Amino acid sequence: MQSNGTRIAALLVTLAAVVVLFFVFKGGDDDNDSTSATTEATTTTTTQADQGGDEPKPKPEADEVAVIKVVDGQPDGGVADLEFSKGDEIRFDVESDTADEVHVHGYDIEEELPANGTAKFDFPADLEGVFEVELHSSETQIAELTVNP
Amino acid sequence: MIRRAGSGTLLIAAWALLSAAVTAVMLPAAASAHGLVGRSDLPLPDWLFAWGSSIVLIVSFVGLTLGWRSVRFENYDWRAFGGAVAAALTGRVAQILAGAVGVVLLVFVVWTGIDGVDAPDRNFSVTFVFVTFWLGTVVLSVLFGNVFRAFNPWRAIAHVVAAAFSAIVGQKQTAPLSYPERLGRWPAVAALVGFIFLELVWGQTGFAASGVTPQTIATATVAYSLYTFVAMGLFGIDRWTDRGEAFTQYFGMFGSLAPFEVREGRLGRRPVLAGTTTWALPAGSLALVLTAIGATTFDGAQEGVLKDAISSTFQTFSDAGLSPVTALRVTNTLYLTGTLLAVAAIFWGGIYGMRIVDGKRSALELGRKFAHAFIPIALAYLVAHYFSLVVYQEQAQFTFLLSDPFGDGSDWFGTAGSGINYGLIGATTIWYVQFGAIVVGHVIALALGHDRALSLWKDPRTAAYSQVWMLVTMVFFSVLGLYLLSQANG
Repeated sequence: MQSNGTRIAALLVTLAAVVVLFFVFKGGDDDNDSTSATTEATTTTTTQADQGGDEPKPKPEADEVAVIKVVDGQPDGGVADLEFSKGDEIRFDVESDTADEVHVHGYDIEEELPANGTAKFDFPADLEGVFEVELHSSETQIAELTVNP
Repeated sequence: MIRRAGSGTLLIAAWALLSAAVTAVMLPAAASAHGLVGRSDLPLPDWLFAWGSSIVLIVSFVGLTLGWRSVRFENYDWRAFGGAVAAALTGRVAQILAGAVGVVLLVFVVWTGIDGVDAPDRNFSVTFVFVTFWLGTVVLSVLFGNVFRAFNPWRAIAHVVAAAFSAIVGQKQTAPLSYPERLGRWPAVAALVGFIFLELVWGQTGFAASGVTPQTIATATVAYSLYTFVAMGLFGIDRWTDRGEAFTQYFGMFGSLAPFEVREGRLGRRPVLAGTTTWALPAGSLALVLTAIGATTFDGAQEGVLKDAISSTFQTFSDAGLSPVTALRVTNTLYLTGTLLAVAAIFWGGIYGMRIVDGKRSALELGRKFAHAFIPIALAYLVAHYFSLVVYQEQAQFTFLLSDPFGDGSDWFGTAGSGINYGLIGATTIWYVQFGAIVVGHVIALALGHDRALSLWKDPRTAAYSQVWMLVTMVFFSVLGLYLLSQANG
């Protein structure tokens, strides 16, 4: 017959064991997963700018910079997905037929967008998270910027 | 024999849930962002989701088979604090001060709401109501008990008016109506649903740009104040505060987890979590817990799991000729209602299962008896979904919103130039907080449920068997919580 104390102790020991196991295996899982996540990102992201493939390889050059086209104040082809990892250089261009201002939330970066011109973005990915990229006049979202840890 | 059957059922249910969950994570993650906040959380990574679900399952299984044999939380001891500090904390001066703080903040919300800038992120009222008040008070309640009752501005104003009235007329007024006990906390539930509607449906994606304006907040605050004063006048100030006033009831629910309790004007100590055992007695308490869980579920789901469904329903209404804003509000109303009903249905599923152990008790009675065990899950959902929002917005609250609450360029305390440092917490920190909140909340819920089962069915085996069903429900909510986080950015 087990006492209450023994039962609670057993529960706590099990919980502790599971947590320890978690941290032991976490590293491996983490690596595996970041590889698969990258693969997934590469296949599902259309306007991928600067992400490695499933093998670690040198960063692609600036000629792969994503371009978001804005027509009549709306993103052509819907809200673009931009995905980077922390420490990358975030680069993308916005082209528009009308003059506006582009605002990257969180990073709080604004660039003027002349009519029939291009706004070029180039800044280090030092904040993790998901951020909106908006046209300032109408607050229309044109891209979603994801920075993975 | 009974115990074996119980464990078998649990295993099957557990694996069914786990496999469903594993299938679910194969779906692509969706993400969107809040209007107020510049940074949204990254979805919980699959490996952390898998670990969280596994830990929830293993702990549940071990907890059930090892389950303790004597009741720990029921009929708890309450001991009054001695000393001048405890007496001062519940004394007249402290009450007047707390009430005054509440009234000043209430007036300030209405004033900034009417007079301040339209931009929700630069107006004091929006961040104060939806973050500092709505989420911050929960934190204070969990630590210190139902503190909002003391700061409740409506109660404070009503007491002052009543005292003034009595002084002029020369006799004490009594409430013209007696509050029907059958109503219990239902008026609070109704007002809570109203608040949630304002936040999540009227404001669309978390009080976004085109949704809740500071003016709407001011109007809603004035309307709720008038409603509260009328109700207090009809049923009595403290009677209404202790049953029908939504915020006292909502924060009080979380306050029941805290180790402090005021009885007859004296501050005392009770075992942590024990306060929950008596909290759910009035009618409508169960609905309050489920509404709290349902609201957070909807907020998480609308940006992930339900995102595609919502946009296709929105399209249908849009094509039918509704304006975009109306179409989105109608759509979100339907999905919010659906989520609240689904959460209730899952809960009742667990309760009906429990009746197999004891057919003599009605489902309603069992539902009320176990409602309190879901308070930790409601809290875990809140922490998991809003932890980062609170960290970001409180920086705003205590810098530029403090110095420039109207957004008119003033700088009262020299902090107007500061902004939100989104780099304060990393994505991994947020993940571990979310994961930890759900796992810890699940374990506490489990303990409360088990304790109640032991007090209902003295035989530990019957109690354990009954808990198989409760457990499946709790596992479902915990795994759902993790799943929502893995799919969305809360």
